[in-house]
Amino acid sequence: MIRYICRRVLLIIPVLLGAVIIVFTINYFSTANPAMIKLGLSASDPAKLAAMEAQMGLDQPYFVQLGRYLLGLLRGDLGQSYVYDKTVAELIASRIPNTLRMSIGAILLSIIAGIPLGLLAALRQNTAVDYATTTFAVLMNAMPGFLVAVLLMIIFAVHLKWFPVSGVDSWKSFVLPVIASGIGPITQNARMTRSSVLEVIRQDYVRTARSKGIEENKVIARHILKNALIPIITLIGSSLGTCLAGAILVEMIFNIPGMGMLINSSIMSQDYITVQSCVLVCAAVVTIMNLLTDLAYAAVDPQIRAQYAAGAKKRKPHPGAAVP
Amino acid sequence: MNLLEIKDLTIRFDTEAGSVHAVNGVSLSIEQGETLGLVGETGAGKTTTALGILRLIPDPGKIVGGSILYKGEDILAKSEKEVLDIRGNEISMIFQDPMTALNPVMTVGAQVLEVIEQHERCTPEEARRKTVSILGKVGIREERVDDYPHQFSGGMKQRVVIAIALACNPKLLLADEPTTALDVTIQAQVMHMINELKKEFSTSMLLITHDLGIVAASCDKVAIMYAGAIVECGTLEDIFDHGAHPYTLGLFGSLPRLDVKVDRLTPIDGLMPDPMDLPQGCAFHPRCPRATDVCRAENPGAAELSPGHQVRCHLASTHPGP
Repeated sequence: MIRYICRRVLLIIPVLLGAVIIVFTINYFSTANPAMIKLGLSASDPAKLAAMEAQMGLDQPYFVQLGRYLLGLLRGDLGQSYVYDKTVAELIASRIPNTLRMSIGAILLSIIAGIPLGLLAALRQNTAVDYATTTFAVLMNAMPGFLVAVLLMIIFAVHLKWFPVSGVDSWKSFVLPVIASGIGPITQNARMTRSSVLEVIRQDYVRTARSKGIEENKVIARHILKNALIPIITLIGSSLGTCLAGAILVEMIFNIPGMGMLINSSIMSQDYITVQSCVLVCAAVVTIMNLLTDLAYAAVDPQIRAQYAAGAKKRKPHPGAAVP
Repeated sequence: MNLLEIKDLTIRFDTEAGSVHAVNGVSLSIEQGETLGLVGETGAGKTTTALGILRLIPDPGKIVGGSILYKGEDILAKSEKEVLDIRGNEISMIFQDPMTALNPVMTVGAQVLEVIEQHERCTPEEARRKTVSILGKVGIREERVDDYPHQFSGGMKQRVVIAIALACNPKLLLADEPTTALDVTIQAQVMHMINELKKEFSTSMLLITHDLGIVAASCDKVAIMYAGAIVECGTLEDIFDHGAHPYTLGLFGSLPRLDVKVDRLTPIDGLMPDPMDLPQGCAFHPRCPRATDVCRAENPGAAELSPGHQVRCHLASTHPGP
């Protein structure tokens, strides 16, 4: 098991390397000249421009530039912003806590709201509760995130004045953004929980559990939920990516200085080195989340745990595939 | 007094497509220490009857009539909480398919422990010791107690299922085709084990099967079920040697015989009727070689041929047995 974790952590390196190379290459071939952006108006002087290009290493071949960037990354140097007088690392360090707070809050919300909602719908299948949950889920899932964000803002911030309209002053500032970015994952979790629980509830082992005379809430917690959790974990793992992508819109609407805003303003001001490093950081966060997802599988499903312990070579077929 | 006495049990599944008449007026009784074999084709309502005893009929099924007297008290009249105390404790069930009957994310020990903790007042250490002991009785060594079901073979899983059923020394065991999903070699072992444990705990058993060989080897009494009704019941001897219902005779007729050379088996012609649309009169008449006009018009009542040997057939009561 420890060996499996080590292997998975090592596997993060090639994934991130791939991401770096792709993003770097796209930037390299973009038409914008970083030296020009950095110099601003004084870029009209060819001598100054050439000097700046040489200083930034832009006159070097592609591989040398890539190599320099990678070496910088190893030292934790994400480069120097073209626009601000700050390193990219500083910019990201000041922005990422807000985004993580928002995204993790959204994921937690999607777990504590989505799973019980889906469970309730499944246990009361084909009743008013079920139909109401399904309608809510479909409606919310069909609405674009920015529309939900704007509606929340109008209702709860502008009219009811429960929460601030924008900015980050206190925890209250995060309530609406968390709901806005969590609404998608909530509905997806609810839908997935419902279908997963409905599948598990018909399994023979649930009937066995009932035949033991244990109370229904124990049957649900020990036998139904634990088995239904596996597909839900996949979804929760992937919802971090969704939240990070959605952060660009939600942060702009609520004026929260986070990664999304940083990426947006960097694109607008052609600060490509910052964009490049932001993408890299997001890739790293998502990769780590994927690792955690895989470990959560192992915690829930002993068969997966056994596979991990045995290593990838001796992977046994799923017993469901065997004809009984 | 009979340990279990089912009277006129009727179970119906109301679906959008119509009502499925799964169990239609089943009556049977089991005495202390006795094994009753419930025999019939797939879909005859055997499993539904057993689940009805535990009040575990899946939706949209409902028990619409009859009574199930256990130790003289009607299970159908009890509260949900009282039924919980009976399930797994007084009456427990062995399920047909061991591959799917165990929870894949719980160790087998935990699944046995769960039922002991539910019904017996004991410390965790005692519960654990009991778990190890009952698993030992079904032939599972202590070092495998903390293994998961996927690490066991089908036969071993069925042993675990049996251990769960026997963990609290039930008075009545409902064994639903306990060996159908197993290899023939394992079948004999498992049946032998069930019979031994049954003797040890002096448990009564309702053995559901369609294997007449198992019935002959393990049962005291036999009930033949067809289309949700018991068509004939009696002692092993009554049914095997003096079977009177044409369906019973058909079942025996379709068995291969060692003493007579036959090229083809003689199956019962036709199929079981659709439980959503049972035929008028005797449910068996469309397949019965001797059906008369009375059979087509009227459902026969139970007639007693000899003490304890009952048959539901218009013909059997007038001309008993061939």
